[in-house]
Amino acid sequence: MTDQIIMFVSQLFSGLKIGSVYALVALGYTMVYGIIRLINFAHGDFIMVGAYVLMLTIPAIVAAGLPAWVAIVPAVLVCVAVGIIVEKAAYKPVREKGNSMTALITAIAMSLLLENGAQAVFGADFQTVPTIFHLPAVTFGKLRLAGDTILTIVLGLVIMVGLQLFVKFTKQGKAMRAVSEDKEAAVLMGINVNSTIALTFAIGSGLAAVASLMYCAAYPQVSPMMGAMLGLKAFVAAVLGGIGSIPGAMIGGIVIGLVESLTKAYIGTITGGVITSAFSDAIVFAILIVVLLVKPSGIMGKNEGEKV
Amino acid sequence: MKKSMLSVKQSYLVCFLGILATFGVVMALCESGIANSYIKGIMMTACIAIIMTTSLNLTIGVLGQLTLGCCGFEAIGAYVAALASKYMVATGMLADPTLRFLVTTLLGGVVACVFGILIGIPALRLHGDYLAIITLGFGEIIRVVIQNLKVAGGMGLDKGAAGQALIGIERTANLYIVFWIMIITVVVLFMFGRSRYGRAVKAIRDDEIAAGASGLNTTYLKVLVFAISAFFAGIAGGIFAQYIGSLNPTMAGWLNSINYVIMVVFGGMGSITGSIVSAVGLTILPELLRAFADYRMLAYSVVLVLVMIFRPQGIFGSWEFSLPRIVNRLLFRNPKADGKDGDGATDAAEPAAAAKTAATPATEAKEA
Amino acid sequence: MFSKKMIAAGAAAVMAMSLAGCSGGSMDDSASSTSAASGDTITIGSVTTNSGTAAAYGEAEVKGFELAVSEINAKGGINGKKVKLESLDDKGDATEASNAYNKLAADGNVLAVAGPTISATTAAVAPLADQTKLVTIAPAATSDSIETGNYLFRTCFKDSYQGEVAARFAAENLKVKKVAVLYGTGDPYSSGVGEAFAKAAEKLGMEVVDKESSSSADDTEYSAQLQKIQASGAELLYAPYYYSVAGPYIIPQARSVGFDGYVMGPDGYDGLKLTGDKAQYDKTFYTTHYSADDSSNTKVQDFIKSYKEKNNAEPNTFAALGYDTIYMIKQAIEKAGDKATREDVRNAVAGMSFDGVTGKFTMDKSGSPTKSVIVLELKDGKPVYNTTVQPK
Repeated sequence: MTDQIIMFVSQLFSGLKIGSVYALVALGYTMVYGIIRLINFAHGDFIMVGAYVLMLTIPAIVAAGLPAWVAIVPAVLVCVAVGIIVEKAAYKPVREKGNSMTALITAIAMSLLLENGAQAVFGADFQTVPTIFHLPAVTFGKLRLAGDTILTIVLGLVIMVGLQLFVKFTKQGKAMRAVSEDKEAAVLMGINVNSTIALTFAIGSGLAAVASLMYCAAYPQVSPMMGAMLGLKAFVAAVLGGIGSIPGAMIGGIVIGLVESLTKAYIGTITGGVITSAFSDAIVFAILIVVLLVKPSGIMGKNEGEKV
Repeated sequence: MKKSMLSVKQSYLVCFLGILATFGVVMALCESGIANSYIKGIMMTACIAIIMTTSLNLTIGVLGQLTLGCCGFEAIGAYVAALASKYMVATGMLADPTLRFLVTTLLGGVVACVFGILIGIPALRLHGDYLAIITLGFGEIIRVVIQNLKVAGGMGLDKGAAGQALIGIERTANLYIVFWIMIITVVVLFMFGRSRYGRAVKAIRDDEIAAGASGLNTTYLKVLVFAISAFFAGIAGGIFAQYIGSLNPTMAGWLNSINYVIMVVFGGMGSITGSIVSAVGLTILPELLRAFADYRMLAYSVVLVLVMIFRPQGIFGSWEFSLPRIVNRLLFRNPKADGKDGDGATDAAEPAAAAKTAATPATEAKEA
Repeated sequence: MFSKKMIAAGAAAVMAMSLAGCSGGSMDDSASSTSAASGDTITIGSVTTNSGTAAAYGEAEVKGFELAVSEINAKGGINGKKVKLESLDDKGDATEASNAYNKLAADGNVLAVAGPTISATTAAVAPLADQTKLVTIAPAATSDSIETGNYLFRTCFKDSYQGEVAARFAAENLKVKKVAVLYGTGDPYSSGVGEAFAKAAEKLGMEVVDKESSSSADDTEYSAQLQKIQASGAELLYAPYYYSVAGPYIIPQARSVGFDGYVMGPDGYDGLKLTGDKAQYDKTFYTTHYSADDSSNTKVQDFIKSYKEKNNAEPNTFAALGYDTIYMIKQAIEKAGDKATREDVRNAVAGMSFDGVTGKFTMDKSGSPTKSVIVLELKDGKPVYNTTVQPK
């Protein structure tokens, strides 16, 4: 019996490992969606960009005698730049002329552009990232929780609280909320909508860089397509938590991670082998579908009636 | 209006003759041997792409909802048709390959349609971004389920192996038959767009709440569109299976679906002509530009962004090509017949335009 | 309404017409028969995956093809004729592969085709090869199911064979009793080899204590499955995945959940991406096609030397298989003679005995070689020759 409990808890831990990464990515999604109501499909690819920057700069940084995680500085800079360029060059002109569907198609196109651009520059092959953290694992008897995982969760919580405070209490944060509520009214109140949206993108892309650091710490490899599935699952997490809600993204990410891990471990036994661990991707999407149908606003989201 | 333009019947006739002429060209190319298996393969691929894009155009352009799961339905149609064909071969049913092809393809379409309804009823309660994501999710679920089915891998049925490509499907697809299936698809979809139902669906696209308030059963209409779209995607899948001869579960994935979405968006959301032109164009172009294959997707994505910025309605917008309109212009020089575009055309030209649009693919196909 | 009916009737009539007697619409037409060896060059076509996720394999194969072709031309060509390589990309997609293949098949000068790269595209090309009577040798498509026993051949061993050899090695050389298998169901290669290993292991009297699977062969997180495997008490984990997944994810994750038994994999481990501590890769074995340390085969050293000269990089398995593929085609065309047709070349490949970089072998009836398998062991992160398993 105790063996089974240990097994269960260690499954929870491995769920936390991936879940904490999803949570970090989902925070970026939710920031952008909260303000401009756009699923930034390219967000997963911002993470890919960040990961390539890490891969390229870590050797130089380590050679300079600094700890590897300092590479987050160039990664954040590059990601923020990419984020703002994408917003200014593509999203903004489309937002001004088109509808929500054209905006979504643009986001998909930007995602394809980044993926294929990276493939043209770096090649399709996988490349490994040097070890970033050398953290000891925390052990409880037979149980073992990796140091990276704890750091990712702590970082996620810190960012979550920080973002929440930023949005609630700073001037820019209030401007963001105003823009999200009603763009025209915000303009009348003297808010510069464009710079507010640009700031949102900068924060979202900066978060992507942080996520890429923690992702590469847990899964030390980069490839042009790495952001696609990661972004998709993190998006599911953001929707599950209630898209637009900052704590919701955190909760959604952790829940998706746990669900994935537990289904991989137990679904075969529960269903007598009919549904196996091979279905885990399908189950994540099935959860999304159920959530969207039952409570489209997600765990933490607020219900919004449709305006005529 | 008298004597100033073709009558309805005459318009039909003109269109039908146009289609016949293009078919004649295709036939001449094939029978004379000018079109070798390579060119015929491209024409076949183009026909399949046309069926996929015109049916997807119904959801994206006419209904105005972005779905990213069309290849899930294509995969259902393909696997159903393939397995039905294998079963019939094994049991000796329907020995005639042409008949078997038609029956299995139709079956693929019907099953895909059933899934379209089952998925559409819950999914279509959502719209916009959420619908896009939920259809993407369904596509992925379909992929994962197929790859875990024992009957749908290896040699299939009782000799199946999960996770393997389904191989050894009888390659019974015939270009002439597929050409006519494609024509029927285009005509039906065009007619639907112009029918009472089609106009109601367009009303939903423009304002769902207002459409509902005007007494339209929006749920029914949306599911209807979804089902029609899924049906033709299933037909395309059935043809694909019996043309290629082997199937992979990855065909249901969302990256494939996005390819078709790109085609529809390029052509113009709401324009069947546009869907056809871009389906044919984007099938031929990569073949011509083989040397630049590495940069194809890069170029697509750049062009896609540019189209969204500078011409969000796509290259053709909602304009439709119409042979009778051209005939009218040539024969009668009637300024009234110079209808602005498809939607604004006069009543008499409408059905004619329907049939004529159908001829467009053939015009394109022969360029292959 | 009348005209609608008319159209329908007309359309039906035309369709009936087009079905009756006209062969042109059939996609199943035999190739324009060719006396291909005319002219003073011989064209060898290739269809490989040079873009998309499997691009790395296809590119390596093409490098192998190009090296072999340039060597052959430097030595005077085949039957005194220069060899030209017509290389096409299939992007890893079945439709693209079949279009590319049709293009080659329609070109009467093409005598043989090397490729495709992956099993999915090979499955699409297989019926076309039979139909156009164009011999096609896939360098590395290992899936069992692609065999037609007709015009499609391969240079590599097939999945089931590799799984069996791995099981034999585990039982006889590593002497383990309890094994576990982990494979990706979405990938024909991963599931094919994994199932074959499990079946063979049971036959050889080992106990398969756990069998786990993942949604796809490119997942990143396997801890949940690995923990169950660790708990099952397996001494050896057989994880047929690619180098990009086994290296950075599966092996480190297996070690971090406390699994310290053997890890074994198939030829996908070639070029394993290593991360972190190299010691965690100890006790890892994999089966493959050739080894740079294999001193019993002199061709290997020559190949590695000339590959390095041309490409300024170490060759991998795919390059080696591609290189052998071209030499197999050369040997077959030479045997078929000066006026060889496509059929002649096919008959020369069937049952041929070949001695190349990836070993000595004979083509069996179904088109797969029966060949020796090299087992490599990772020591300090580097693959070291362990043994050669001969075919039974």
